Amino acid sequence: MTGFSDKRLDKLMNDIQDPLDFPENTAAPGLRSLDTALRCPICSEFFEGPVTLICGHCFCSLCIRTFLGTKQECPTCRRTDVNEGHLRVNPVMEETVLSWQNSRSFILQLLKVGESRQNGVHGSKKRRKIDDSDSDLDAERIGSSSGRGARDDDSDDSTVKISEVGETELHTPKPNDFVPCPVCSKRVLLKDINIHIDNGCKEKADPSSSKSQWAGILGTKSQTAKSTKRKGKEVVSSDDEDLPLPKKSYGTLKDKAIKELLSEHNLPTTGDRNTLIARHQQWVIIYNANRDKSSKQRKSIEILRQELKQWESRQKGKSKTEISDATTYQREQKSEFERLVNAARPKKTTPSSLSPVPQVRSVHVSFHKDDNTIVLDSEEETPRIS
Amino acid sequence: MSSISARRLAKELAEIHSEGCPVGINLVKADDFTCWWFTIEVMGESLYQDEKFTLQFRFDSGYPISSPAVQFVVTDGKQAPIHPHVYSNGHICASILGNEWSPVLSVVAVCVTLQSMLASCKEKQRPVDNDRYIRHAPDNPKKTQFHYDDDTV
Ligand SMILES: [Zn+2]
Ligand SMILES: [Zn+2]
Ligand SMILES: [Zn+2]
Repeated sequence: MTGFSDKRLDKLMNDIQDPLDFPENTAAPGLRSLDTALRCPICSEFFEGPVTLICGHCFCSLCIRTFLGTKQECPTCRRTDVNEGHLRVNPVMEETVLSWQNSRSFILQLLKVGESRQNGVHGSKKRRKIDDSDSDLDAERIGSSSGRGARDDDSDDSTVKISEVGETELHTPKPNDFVPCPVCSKRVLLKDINIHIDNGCKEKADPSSSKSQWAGILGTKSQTAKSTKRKGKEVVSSDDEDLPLPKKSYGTLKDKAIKELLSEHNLPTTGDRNTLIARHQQWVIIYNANRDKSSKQRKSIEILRQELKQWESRQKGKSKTEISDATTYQREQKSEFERLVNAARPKKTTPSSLSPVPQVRSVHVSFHKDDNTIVLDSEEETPRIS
Repeated sequence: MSSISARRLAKELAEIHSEGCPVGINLVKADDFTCWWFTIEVMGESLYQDEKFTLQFRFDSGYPISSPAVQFVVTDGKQAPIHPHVYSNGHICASILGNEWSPVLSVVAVCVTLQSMLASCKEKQRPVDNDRYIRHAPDNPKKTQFHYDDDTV
């Protein structure tokens, strides 16, 4: 179980964290709601590059910028006089989130130790809730009191070392297992993951998925992390880095001009007009969202390009498979599904808490009355292009 | 490829598994991140006493920025509830599924809303234009632009 205690891997294995890792309010006042409050209501992850709208509601910069591209409205309070120009960075929230992320597993471990002390040998069901480091096997053992007891003797021992936090993880993968990279989400052999990250998430040659131009731009595997960084800085000078990229009205731009915009940022200029526009639009979103982070948290231009490339390949999959016959997408998602659900599984074995109704935000609904106004819109869904 | 949609749905699923669904709502199928099924019953007094409906959610990779495609299942002997906003092909005319969708909503929130839509129904009838609609209805209800003029829930 030890041996993979690298911090990056901890992050990776803690993939599916959510507020339910913490016990209910009565058992640990405020912790679950604190863990909720520090998450973006769009993606449910901890705020990344948090920004606030004029109404004060806070989101990840990337999430809200993407959303505002589809609708000018605050997702939380539905205020409609909002736009991207109103976004203000929220460095205090960023700081808070980072501190909380640092203390989170420590606090969980403290809770676990405290619980087992309180409950003694007859561990209560509640314990399992915060017990996110036990294995699946343990979930079975919980059923038998003898197994439970033996286990608790260990935990009760006051020599439980806090330093072990994060070393005992669920489903510890083996070196030859594929795991998703915590930075770029690409699936990488576990034994290669550190090299992969150190190389700025460059692929180890994947001719099938990458166009030659992308490959050229993203560099070859022989490049080191250092050269990657330097390359990123060559493209965007430090002066430019201080300004957000302006949104363009592509309608008035010729293809050539759009290609020039892409070239400026060392992005591929392949594809038809819609592809070019979508690529540049998404680049502006990714780039500006990255700028909303404090300088320490920002990703390198190189990684942003990688993210753009991944976004593009997801878009392709999306347009090819309509939602109605999304078998390919379904198949692709299946393994991802199993991985994520497995990661979340130990939390499911919590029969003690099947009672309360989850909090549901109040929603306002309206329905049609005038039945002659139904309009059939059979147009294909197009990528968001203004 | 760990998209935002997969991660969000994984969290929603984890919450459903550990906290359970609200009364009358049950998850019956979630084999992947593209299609989930729930059963819905209206609790207490209503026009739908002892009736159980199956609700289908389909997600694309744009979820939760883009809304899920939600409809009642009308295959395998299952029926859509008879309701002024529910077509016999299972399509639902509810603004929360269209222009009033917000990415801060969740699958469970949608279920609860539709449950209360049924609970408040005063007269069991199909939409006036049911026959006309289902003749031309697209497979994906998201491609229909319903008009929501009625503010009653
Ligand atoms: Zn977010
Ligand atoms: Zn707001
Ligand atoms: Zn990576």
